[in-house]
Amino acid sequence: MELEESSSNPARCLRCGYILNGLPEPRCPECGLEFLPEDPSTYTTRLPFVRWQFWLPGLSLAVGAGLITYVILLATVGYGWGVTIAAPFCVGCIIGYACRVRTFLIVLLAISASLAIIIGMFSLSLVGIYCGLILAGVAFGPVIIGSLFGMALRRHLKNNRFSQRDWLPMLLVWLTPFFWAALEGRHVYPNETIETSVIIPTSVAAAWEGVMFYEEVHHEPPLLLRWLLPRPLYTSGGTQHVGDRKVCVYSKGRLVKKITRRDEGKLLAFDVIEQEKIETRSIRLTGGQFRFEAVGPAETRVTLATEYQPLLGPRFAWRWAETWATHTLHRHVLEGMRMKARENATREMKMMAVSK
Amino acid sequence: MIALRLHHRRRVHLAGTFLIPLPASAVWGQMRCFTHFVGLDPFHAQIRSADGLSTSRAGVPIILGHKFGPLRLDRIGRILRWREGRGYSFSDLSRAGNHSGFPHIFTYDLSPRGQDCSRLIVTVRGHWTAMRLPPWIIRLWLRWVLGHTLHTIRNRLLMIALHRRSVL
Repeated sequence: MELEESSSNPARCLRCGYILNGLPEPRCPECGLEFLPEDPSTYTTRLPFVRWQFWLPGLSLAVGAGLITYVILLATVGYGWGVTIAAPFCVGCIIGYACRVRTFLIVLLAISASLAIIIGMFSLSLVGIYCGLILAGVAFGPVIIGSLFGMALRRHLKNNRFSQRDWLPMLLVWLTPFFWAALEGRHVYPNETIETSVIIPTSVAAAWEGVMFYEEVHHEPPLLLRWLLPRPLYTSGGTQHVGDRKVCVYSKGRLVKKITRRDEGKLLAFDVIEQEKIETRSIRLTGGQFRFEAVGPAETRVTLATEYQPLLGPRFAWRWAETWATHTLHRHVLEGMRMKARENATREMKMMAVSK
Repeated sequence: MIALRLHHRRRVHLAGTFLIPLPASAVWGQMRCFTHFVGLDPFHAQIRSADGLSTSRAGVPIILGHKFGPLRLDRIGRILRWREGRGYSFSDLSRAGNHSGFPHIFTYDLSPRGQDCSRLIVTVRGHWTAMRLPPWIIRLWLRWVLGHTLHTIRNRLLMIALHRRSVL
């Protein structure tokens, strides 16, 4: 009995994929494996599934190498060009060089690799959710460019007789972020201050009465503060005198603020004297202040300022994210103050009406 | 690598060559199923023997189902040569006759190149019958079609090579 011809799914040898139709004896001429034409379990009509070999080893290599790169660089030089630009470029390059699939799949794999690395870093507590998402966004460009570069390099070296082309270009690419980081060294960025002002429709005295810290605001915070940054749980201590300390406990750590200046109705300034497990890899909080300025008989401009030392670089890649998050936090606090000032004003009016 | 000669009387000679990291016997193991291997051409839908007999010999009349997007049409031909382990050639003709619809002959020629390497040459010889088309369009079209066919065949054989490397 012979196997029948089939144009779509011919019978193949289980071991080597040789097409077995029309053979004089039930044995694969290529590898010698015997088969029984009447027993379909002794041969296969499917093509060997090897597509994963074209991309999975490359993807695994890129994710593994990327994670190791990030861990070493963050432990040694911190965030800089090496981590933010060179490392994702290297990951993309490995994908482009080691994965032999179509261009759009290369791009898709590069994006998947960077997301997998970010998830890995989050699991290792190297980044928080917000920083991880920003890093993924910033890394997008270098990863794509790197993957296209890797692909072009592979095509260029494809017909080259260089015997070490399988691994040497990748090793050199992988070492690039380390060289870059070594040349760059650890950055110390100067302190930056972010200010947000709003006009509260109340007197300066009422606005001053409404001063509150982020941890004391009770209305629903915006999504960014609710999901992506540590959430405040409770606070203790006071702000009545210079030297008073306020301990603010968050879902992941705590901040201790010390009042350094208090000009009634004008200024309340504080220093952050302890920052524990709160964005310690991204910023070092140094202080802040509330400033009050009358702009009308019943209107006060309240300015909230936060001073910090940035730890993330290059600055053009990270400053916008820090500014956005800080302004969101400021607006949330100022909205809380506005609500409290309005409550105070209403209460005063009621008391005046009762006394009359 | 693709070489194309288009004569002024629209005679076509098109040849594509590539090397595969597989012994010739293993490549023949894929080529020997004529209906399957010839079907790897992007325009070949279903190849079958016209008399219902095996296609692995010379002289067998064949029906070559073609597809052009949603269009389906059958062309006819015959296996002209069958060299076991080396290749085969067959004609691909229009049902309207030998002088219309680009009559051509396909040849697949396999030769060993060392222990684990072989070379496959795919040749198309025929006569271009749509005389109004400018030569540069004909060249572009023929190169694209053969390039696509070679790409598909090469990918399929590389897949087998990869499988053999991981199993054998």
